[in-house]
Amino acid sequence: MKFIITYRISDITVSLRTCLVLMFLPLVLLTGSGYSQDGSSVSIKAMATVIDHAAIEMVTLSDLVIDESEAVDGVVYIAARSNPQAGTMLVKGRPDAQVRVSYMSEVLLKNLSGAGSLKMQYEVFGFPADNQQASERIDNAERPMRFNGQGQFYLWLGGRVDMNQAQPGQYTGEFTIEFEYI
Amino acid sequence: MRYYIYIIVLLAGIQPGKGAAQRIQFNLYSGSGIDLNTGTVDELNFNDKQTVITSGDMVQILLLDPATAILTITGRSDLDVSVTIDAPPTLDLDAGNKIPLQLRYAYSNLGAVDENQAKTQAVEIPQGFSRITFPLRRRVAGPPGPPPTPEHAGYSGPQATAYLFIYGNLGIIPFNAAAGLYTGDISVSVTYEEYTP
Repeated sequence: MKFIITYRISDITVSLRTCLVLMFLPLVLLTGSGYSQDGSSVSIKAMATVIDHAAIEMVTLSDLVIDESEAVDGVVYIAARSNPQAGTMLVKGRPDAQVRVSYMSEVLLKNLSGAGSLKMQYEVFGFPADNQQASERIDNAERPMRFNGQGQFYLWLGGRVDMNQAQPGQYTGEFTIEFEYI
Repeated sequence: MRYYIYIIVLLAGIQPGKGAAQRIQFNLYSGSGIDLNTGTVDELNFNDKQTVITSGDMVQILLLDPATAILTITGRSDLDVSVTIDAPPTLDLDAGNKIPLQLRYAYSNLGAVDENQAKTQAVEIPQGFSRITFPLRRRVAGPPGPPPTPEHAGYSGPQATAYLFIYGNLGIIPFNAAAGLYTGDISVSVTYEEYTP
C-alpha cells in the first residue's frame, strides 16, 4: 500500500530585499468556527477529524523558512538536522509499522510572475520522536523507517536553493514524499 | 348544656370554605442586559489537543489546556446567573458513525483580568450537571450587602464579567469509526436567576 503526499509551495516572492518564506499547506483542514449569538445564547461547535487507522496522515508542525538575507554566494542552505528554520512534519500511521520513505529531492520552483525558475534541493531527516538533533537522514535509498508505539514519525525538511539566477517574482512548486508499508 | 351546643355550631360556621388570596411575585431582576459571548477559543476542537486522532484513541481536553473553549458572561455584578448547556452525547459524522462525547464545565467569577487568570481560578462543575447557577461576581467574605439598587434612568448598576469553560473527553474512538470530520453543536444560554418558587 502506497501513500503519496504532495505539498504545494506557493507565494514565494523574490526581490532584492525580501525574505523568502516557503509555506506548506497543512493537511488537516479545519472548518471555521461557526457560532451564533443573540446576546444571551451562543452555540459553539465541537469537532474532531478522525483518520483511518491504516492510513498515513501528515501534519505540518512548522514551516520551512528560507531567508534570502542569509544567502552565501547566492545560495541559501537550511540544514534539516540542526537549523530551527527547517520545516517540521508529524507523520502518523500504524504503531510500530515499518515504512519505506522516498521523496523528490530536486524540484523546480516556477516563477509565476515572469520568466525563470529556482532549483530547490531538499534534504529530509526523520526520527520516531520529536528530537531534531537525533534525526537521521532519509537518503532516498529506501531504507525502512519505523513508526513509534504511538504511530508517530517526525520529519525535518531542509534544503538548498541557488538564487544567483533568480528573477524577481513569485515562485511556486511542490514537495512530494511517498510512504509505503512493508 | 345549651351554651355548649351554641359553641359547637359557632365553630362549625367558621370553617373556611373556599379561600381567596393574592400573591405578588417579586423578581430579583426583570431586565435582560446580559451578554454571552465567545472568548478567544470559540470552538472545542479535539485536534487542537491531539493533531492526529485514530480509532482506539481517547482524547481528553483538560481545563487548563489551550484547547478549552471559552465563553464570557457580562452583566450586573450583584446578581446571580443561570447557565444552561445543551450538548450532544456524541460527535457525529453521519447516522452510523458516532463518537462518545463527555463534556465538563467550569466557571470563574472572581473578577479575573483575562482568560488565563480566570482559568486558574475556575471552579469545576461535577460531571453530569448541565445547569449552573452562580453569582456573576463572587461576594467577598462577610454578610450580604444591601439589596441592589434597581436600574433606572441615569443609573446603571455595576457590571462584571464571568468566564465559562467547556472541555471534556472524546472517545474511545470506535475501531470501526469511518474517517472524517465529526461535529456537534453545544448550545449555551444564560439568564439572571429569578429563584421562582
